[in-house]
Amino acid sequence: MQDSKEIFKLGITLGLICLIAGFALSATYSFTKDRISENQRKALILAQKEIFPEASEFRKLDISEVKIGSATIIEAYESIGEGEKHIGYIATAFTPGYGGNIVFVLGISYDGSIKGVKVTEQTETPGLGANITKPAFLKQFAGKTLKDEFIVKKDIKPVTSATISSRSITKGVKEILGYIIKQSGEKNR
Amino acid sequence: MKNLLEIFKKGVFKENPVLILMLGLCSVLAVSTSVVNAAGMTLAFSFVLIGSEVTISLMRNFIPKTLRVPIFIVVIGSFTTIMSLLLQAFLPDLNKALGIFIPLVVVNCIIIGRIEAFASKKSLSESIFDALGMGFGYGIVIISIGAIRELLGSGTILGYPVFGSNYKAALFFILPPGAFLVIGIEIAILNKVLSVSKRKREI
Repeated sequence: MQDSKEIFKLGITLGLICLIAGFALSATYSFTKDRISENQRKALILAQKEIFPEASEFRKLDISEVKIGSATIIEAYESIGEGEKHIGYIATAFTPGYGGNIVFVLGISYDGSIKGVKVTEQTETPGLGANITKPAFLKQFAGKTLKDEFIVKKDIKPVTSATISSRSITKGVKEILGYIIKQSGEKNR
Repeated sequence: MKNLLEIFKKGVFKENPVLILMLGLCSVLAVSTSVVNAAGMTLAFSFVLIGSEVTISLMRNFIPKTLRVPIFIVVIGSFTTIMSLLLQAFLPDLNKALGIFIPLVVVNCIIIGRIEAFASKKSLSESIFDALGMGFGYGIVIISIGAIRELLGSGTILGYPVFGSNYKAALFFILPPGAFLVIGIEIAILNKVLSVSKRKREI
């Protein structure tokens, strides 16, 4: 009898402490919630604006997370210019790199060529693979279409001593480009 | 007061959490690639350490002995989550740079070690000074490793180039082996200093 009373007391103590901790957590969460989603939205718009400076609006497309080859598309937007003009698509996707997933934003012009690529998150080797975020490497993608080969060391010059990282992002970009073109073609038909 | 200062100093030198107690090495080695990352990690770590030590010290008379470990973990986990939410809201860039090591503060053994060995037995003021000393000792080590690695590995300090554009950075220091080398040297230096001061006292 003594034992069960003791256990009951312990349970109440732990429960109380967890309850207080829970209150503290939910208070912080509701206090920071809006700011966090605002920050994430800002970061995305910043990346999108960098690729499509002339766009006035980005309209979210109804695309769910799908794996295409090795890359996975997270979400896609339609870029709208002045006067409701359709000027292209922009997709966020990730692809496995050398040291984890590489998250990138890919902009596609209305004519099906690549407008620009920007890496937003990566965990490649610092100083080597991490250089795939540099414009000198990424600008090679601009203007390429599905007719291009997208082969590292052929039409894409890799980052020095980071062939795997270069290859993964090149492959990912090509796969996402193909997917968006296919989807938009089906929709327009 | 002298006693409190003694507790603070102990955290920096004689019981330095990284160089002497050798705790929490994983985050120290991984995050010390630059001064900014190291300083951010120190901030995050100290926030959780001070918050947890204060809370546990205040509750120390109400914590049943059999329940102490689950309670410690609830307290540390809550402070880590609060800190992580605050970072995401107010310092999103730092949050991105520190990445996985933010949630991993929760399993940093320095924190649970200090709570079990110190805060759960000592008064509030002693616990605050212990947390400050440990946080400071952790900070000095990780920031100095960060500074050495950033200077040699990328040729910058706080992101500003130091050596001019001709400097070819020694990548080795940014990569994991560089972290082991620098921390080894720091451990050796602190041990030498401590043994010399001990010998002096004996004479």
